[in-house]
Amino acid sequence: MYLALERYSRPSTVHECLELLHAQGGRAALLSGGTDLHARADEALTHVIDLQALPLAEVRASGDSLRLGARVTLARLRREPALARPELAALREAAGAYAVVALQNRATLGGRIMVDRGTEDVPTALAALGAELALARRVDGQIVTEREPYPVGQRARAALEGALVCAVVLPLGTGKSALRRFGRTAVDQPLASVAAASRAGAIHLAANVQGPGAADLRTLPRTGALASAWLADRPADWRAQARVALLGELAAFEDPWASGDYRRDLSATLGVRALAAVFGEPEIV
Amino acid sequence: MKIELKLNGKDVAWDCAPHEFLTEALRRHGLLGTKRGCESGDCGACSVLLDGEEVPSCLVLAAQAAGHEVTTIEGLGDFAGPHPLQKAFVDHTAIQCGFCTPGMVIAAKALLDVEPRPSEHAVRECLAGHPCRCTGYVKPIQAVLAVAATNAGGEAR
Ligand SMILES: Cc1cc2nc3c(=O)[nH]c(=O)nc-3n(C[C@H](O)[C@H](O)[C@H](O)COP(=O)(O)OP(=O)(O)OC[C@H]3O[C@@H](n4cnc5c(N)ncnc54)[C@H](O)[C@@H]3O)c2cc1C
Ligand code: FES
Ligand code: FES
Repeated sequence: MYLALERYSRPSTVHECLELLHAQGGRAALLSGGTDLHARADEALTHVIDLQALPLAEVRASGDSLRLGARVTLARLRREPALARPELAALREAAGAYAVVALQNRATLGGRIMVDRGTEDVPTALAALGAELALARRVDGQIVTEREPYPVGQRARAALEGALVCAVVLPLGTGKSALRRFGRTAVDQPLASVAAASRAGAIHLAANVQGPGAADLRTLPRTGALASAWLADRPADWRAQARVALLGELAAFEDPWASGDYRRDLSATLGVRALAAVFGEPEIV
Repeated sequence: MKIELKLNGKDVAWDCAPHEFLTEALRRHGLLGTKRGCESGDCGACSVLLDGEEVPSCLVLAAQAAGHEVTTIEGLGDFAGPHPLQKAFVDHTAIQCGFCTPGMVIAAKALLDVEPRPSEHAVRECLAGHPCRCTGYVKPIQAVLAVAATNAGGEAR
């Protein structure tokens, strides 16, 4: 429950929004879909700055990239015609796996990226798809905009600190992608999810493990390099080789939900399946 | 703060505190069909339509709804003139205590408005965010499918 919230603002420009955030300091928060912010309802929050009037809900394909505004909801990601391409399947699958319809209608890309340093399924897909973030910040009284590769691991917190996520920019091409996840029940957070994407003749992988109190999103460049060589022709035992490579690169993340070995093994299985989907091979043999 | 919105087809102007959630604002104005359940987005009892989409009103500040169109269960129909979905829930005995029912009906209305003849899978997915502790799910699913079969719930009322 909010105990101290006494101000609601709905700025219509990025400049106004970041000025408001700066003026209020740590007691103000940006509000997008509210499915995380309101569910937590920080008792000390005094001011929410609603992003709904900012021009951040566009979906625009231009040449070789697709720009998704930070206010695009997960429901829209599921049905957006611009995403109906094999190379973006991982993102559609990730959005479809999210909670339930009413929450998908509210939750936005920007919120999903900022919560828990952007772990979970949608960020896993974005990291594998080679997404960049369009960010805006207030630096020395000026509004600075920048494009950053999707931040993962240790880099994520610093890269996103104090930033307004304006959009996600995805490269378009002719590849394929897939996301495979596993949670104990349909409504639980996934224990692990892995996304694979083929792009410009190479394979890119990202894996995310999540549990109470901690989460870890990382890219898997060594397995990606190995799998890239298999795009045209694959050895008969590519699954076994991929599994070994994945196990070597994945973290053994342990918590009360699952042991480290279980999660790492599960992630390797999900990784092999995601690769099979990208190669157009059966996932279970 | 003063907010203006369209509520069940009528323009309204309300005084709201910045921290007041839409569930509370609706109930304070006598619209008690929108239930207060978990207040954390988990149970679907507080669902309303915001610009035609199902949303959990417990995770929407009243101020966020300003300038938008909100439809509650009362906006669908009443005892004298129930919406086909409301009638189908009664006819199929898809209600026991009724606490989850407004949310389910709102969710089904949102679905049928965009997909007048949904598959059973789509109906299940739409009701998935609405746990029911007494009736279960078979009868609500049957009720929605019955309306879909006549395509009546998909018509604007
Ligand atoms: C019942 C329930 C089930 C859930 N299930 C899932 C699930 O299955 N999978 C999942 O991934 N998550 C889930 N969540 C968590 C939450 O819904 C997601 O994290 C969601 O994507 C948050 O998006 P939002 O737009 O609602 O963010 P908000 O709640 O509006 O904001 C979240 C945080 O991000 C910041 N923020 C928002 N937008 C921006 C921006 N553009 N720039 C900078 N900062 C910003 C806010 O200041 C806030 O700190 C669930 C939450 C609930 C309540
Ligand atoms: S009261 Fe809103 S989802 Fe439970
Ligand atoms: S009818 Fe009682 S909870 Fe559903």
